[in-house]
Amino acid sequence: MSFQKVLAIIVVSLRLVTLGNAERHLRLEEVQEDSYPFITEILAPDAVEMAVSEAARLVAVTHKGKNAGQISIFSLDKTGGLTGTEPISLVLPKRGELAKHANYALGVTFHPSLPLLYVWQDVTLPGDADAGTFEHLLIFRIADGKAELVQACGKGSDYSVGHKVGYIAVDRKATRLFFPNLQRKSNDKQLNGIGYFKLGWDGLVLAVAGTAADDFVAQRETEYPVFIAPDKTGGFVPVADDVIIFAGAAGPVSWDLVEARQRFAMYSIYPVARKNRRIAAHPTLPVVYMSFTLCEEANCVHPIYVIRLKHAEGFLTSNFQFTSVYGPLAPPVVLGRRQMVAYGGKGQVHFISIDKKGDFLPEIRRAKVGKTEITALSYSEEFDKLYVAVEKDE
Amino acid sequence: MKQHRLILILVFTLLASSVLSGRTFELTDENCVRIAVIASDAPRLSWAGLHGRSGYTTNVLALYNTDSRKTAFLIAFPLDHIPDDKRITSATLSMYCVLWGQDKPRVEVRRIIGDWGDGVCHLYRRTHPEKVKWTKPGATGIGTDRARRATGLVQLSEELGEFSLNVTEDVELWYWRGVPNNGWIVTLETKGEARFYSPTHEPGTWKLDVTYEPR
Repeated sequence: MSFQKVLAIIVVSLRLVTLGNAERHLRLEEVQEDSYPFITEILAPDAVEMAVSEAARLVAVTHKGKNAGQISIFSLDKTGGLTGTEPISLVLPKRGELAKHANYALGVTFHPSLPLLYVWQDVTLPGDADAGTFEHLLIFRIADGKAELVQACGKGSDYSVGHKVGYIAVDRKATRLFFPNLQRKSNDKQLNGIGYFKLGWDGLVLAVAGTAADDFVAQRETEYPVFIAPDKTGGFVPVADDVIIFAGAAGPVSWDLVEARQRFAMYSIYPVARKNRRIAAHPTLPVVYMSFTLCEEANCVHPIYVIRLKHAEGFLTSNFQFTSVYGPLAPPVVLGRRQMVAYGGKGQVHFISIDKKGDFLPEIRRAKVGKTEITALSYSEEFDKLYVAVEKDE
Repeated sequence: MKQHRLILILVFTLLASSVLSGRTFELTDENCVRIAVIASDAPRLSWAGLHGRSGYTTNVLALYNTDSRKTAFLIAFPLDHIPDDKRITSATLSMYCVLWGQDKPRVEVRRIIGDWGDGVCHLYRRTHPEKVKWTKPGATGIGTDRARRATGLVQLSEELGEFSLNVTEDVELWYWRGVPNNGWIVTLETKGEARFYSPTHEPGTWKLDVTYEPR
């Protein structure tokens, strides 16, 4: 045996008996997988975001670029497969005084049981234009291959415009719709907020709650701009009836909608001030996943950090676990039945394995999908299908 | 060749001595799963770290003992690293203080008696998978939630930085006498406020150093 080998054995032996700190950063190891039969590719050029409705058997995809003003809505059969019929091409209506300016969809989500699609839209305006009449929330009823606008609200000076990112979410009981991009001036200082609309039994925004003044009643105490940075926060996960978790500046934030004393609690994680903060909840376990990137570009050379954090009825609890993966900028998607957390990447989808408790396992799989950056993807627990928007039929 | 042999002998000697004569290892907050900050004015939060204008953040671990707010830090280091049949010769708990209020407060450390876990907060010692209350809110039940006798007191002094406490007796109790290791509750014994590095934001600053030797 050579001296080097003997020395290597000694070093390993020493390592084994040395009780130091556990490795906090979980390193992922590549696992090869031949096929991913649960992936359903959807042809949707310039896709940005996606929502799926199991109840209405629909998938909605938003677009950027020349298609930014429209949403594509695909029909699913009873197994969750694409029906193959032509998608509905929903062109966002141009209404009111700002009709000549370009409007575009920021966030989409479905009602959990009704065939309603909620769209949070924004508008590009010249600096001196008044956005006060622009309606940010549009609600469409999808039936018989058509999308009918049934409500438009959320207008006034309390809403900021011209954003790149804006997620919306409906809570489990479909009583609230959470939205981003509120603003208020206080002592000439710009304060950013989030809010919610109360929804009625029919899924529409209750009239009183639909006024701009009432939006702020719900979140007046969010006047802390560190919590909510426009274009950087990444969504809401309504994990409990009265407590939701949203992506804050330095980690997830729990928002208690009832108990004012503990209304906001931010779990601040080092390293801070990351961009592209995105969050997702496990569909059945009390676990959330949040990712942070160092840069906003798709070709970012730095890894994104992904943390796993438990919650108890919406309140963040225990210590966190973290790992990292290169490339993706899209929000995490949790495949509960498959025990995976998925991220879109360039021409591929990354799958980080999780165990039965939702903890990360040191495994990563990569499925080749299309050739461009995958940002729009969504999973159906009921159908066990991961829908992925791709540029071309490949 | 002679040189190689000498190096090997030296390494083997070091290895053998460390195994035979006992060892010291360090655990930090990064090794802990059970860890929390509970506060009387945030009855359901597991992480009521620093109270600000809009709520709580964990970028600083702030302990308060005021009329309106009483805070406690809970931490349980896993001791399953220690091999069987050893004798604990010393154990030291360290923390890093970054600020205190007008009066230099005294930090009290006690063993926690009740089993606690996910969802721990001022009202409950766990809320998942089911809710279990502390015998008194804030784990203040003496002899039921926390030990009758304090493990020790740390008087914060003029100089900020790391403070340590001898916790050998507690670690020995958990390791050798089979008492369940539910960690410690850290509070301010005197009125005031003190701030420490936070385990989520500045991890690795709450430390437990343990030395053991063959029994």
